[in-house]
Amino acid sequence: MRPTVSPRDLLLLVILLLGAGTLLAVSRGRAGVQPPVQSLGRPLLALPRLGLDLLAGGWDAVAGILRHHAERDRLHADLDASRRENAQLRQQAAEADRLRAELALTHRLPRPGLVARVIGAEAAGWPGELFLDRGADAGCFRYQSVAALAPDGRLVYVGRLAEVTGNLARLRPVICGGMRVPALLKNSNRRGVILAGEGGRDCHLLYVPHEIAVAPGEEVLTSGEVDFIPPGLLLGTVREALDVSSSPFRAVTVTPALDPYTLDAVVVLTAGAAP
Amino acid sequence: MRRWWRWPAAGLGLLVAQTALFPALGTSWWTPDLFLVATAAVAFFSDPRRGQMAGFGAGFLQDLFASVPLGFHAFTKTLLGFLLGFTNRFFYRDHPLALPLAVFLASWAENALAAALAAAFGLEPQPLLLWQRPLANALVALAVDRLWRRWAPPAGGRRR
Repeated sequence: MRPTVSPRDLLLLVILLLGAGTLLAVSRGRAGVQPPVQSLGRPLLALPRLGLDLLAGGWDAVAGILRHHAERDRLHADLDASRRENAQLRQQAAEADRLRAELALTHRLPRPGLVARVIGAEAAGWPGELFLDRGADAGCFRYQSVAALAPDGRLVYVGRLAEVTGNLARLRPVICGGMRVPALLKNSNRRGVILAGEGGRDCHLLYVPHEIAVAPGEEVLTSGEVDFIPPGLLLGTVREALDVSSSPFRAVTVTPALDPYTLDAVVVLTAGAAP
Repeated sequence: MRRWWRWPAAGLGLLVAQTALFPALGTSWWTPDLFLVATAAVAFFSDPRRGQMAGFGAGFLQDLFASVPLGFHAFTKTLLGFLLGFTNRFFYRDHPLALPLAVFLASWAENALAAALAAAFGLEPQPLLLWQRPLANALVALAVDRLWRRWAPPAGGRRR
């Protein structure tokens, strides 16, 4: 189909183009009517602009809130990660401190031993056994003597290993009922006495004849008369010594030199010991 | 009932959108020329007479609020409205991409006309926008095509 244009349309086109061209020629380089029209239209356009500005401002606020929420979540995640990392570093630092302390303790030991950490206590009654972090894998075995280092650097007998598994050992403290340790009164050098745990805070020294002078404060040592208990380890001090007329022996109460339940590290004595 | 207020309202809406909405969104070469799209839509779906009248009206309104001499856009858009109304028979107008294509071509044509007019009248040279604004105009025309087919009154006695 051929496009056709009516003469009226062409005439209208010419008129409009002439009008526009005249306007263009007249208004070129002059202020013309645009500034007044624009100033008149400014209030008209101000309202939609204000609405748009409000909309944009509201959207900016929402976007800002969303952005802040995302930033807060990211910061929370970073903080959690930092806390986890901090906890790991603290754990590693504590482990390093522990290993350093164990090494120092090992160097200070007057006799060979294996430093072990007390990692728990038996939950059934008191006094109960303690758990050590060393076991058969580290060369420990049942009945091995366990000592601890006193503040003055002396080794104190704490108890013996009651049970040993791969990487765990149970320490039975000397105050537990049934514990018997051959002992020696330091002042009189009296042998043949037995330190007996009775399940209380103190122990009793058995088989001390009446003719042996025992004074409160006297030290009691291990006599070393059985295997796995080296001689000369401090057991405790005499708290009281009573004469009981109905018995051929004195009733001697001994306070242990260390409370085993306050210890963090102990020493499993190894010298000369063999299963 | 003659709804005479439609054209002024449409012009006002275009004016508000062109001078308030787009500047608020940030002016760039991607900003579409709504007056051109409106002129092209009227001319494309009607005839040369309505096309050139719409072009003159839209261009004059645009001139009032633009920083070019009065009559600049009126001239270019009148000519474009006439040409598009004259050549709309060459397009398959039922196709949804016909109007965007026509608007894309019209954008190029207006760019060339504006450059020629600026040179002829010794005005500031117009920037050559080969892709950005024609493409933006075509995208707007795609939406206008849908709206026109749904809501526009029958043009030239034909209901589309």
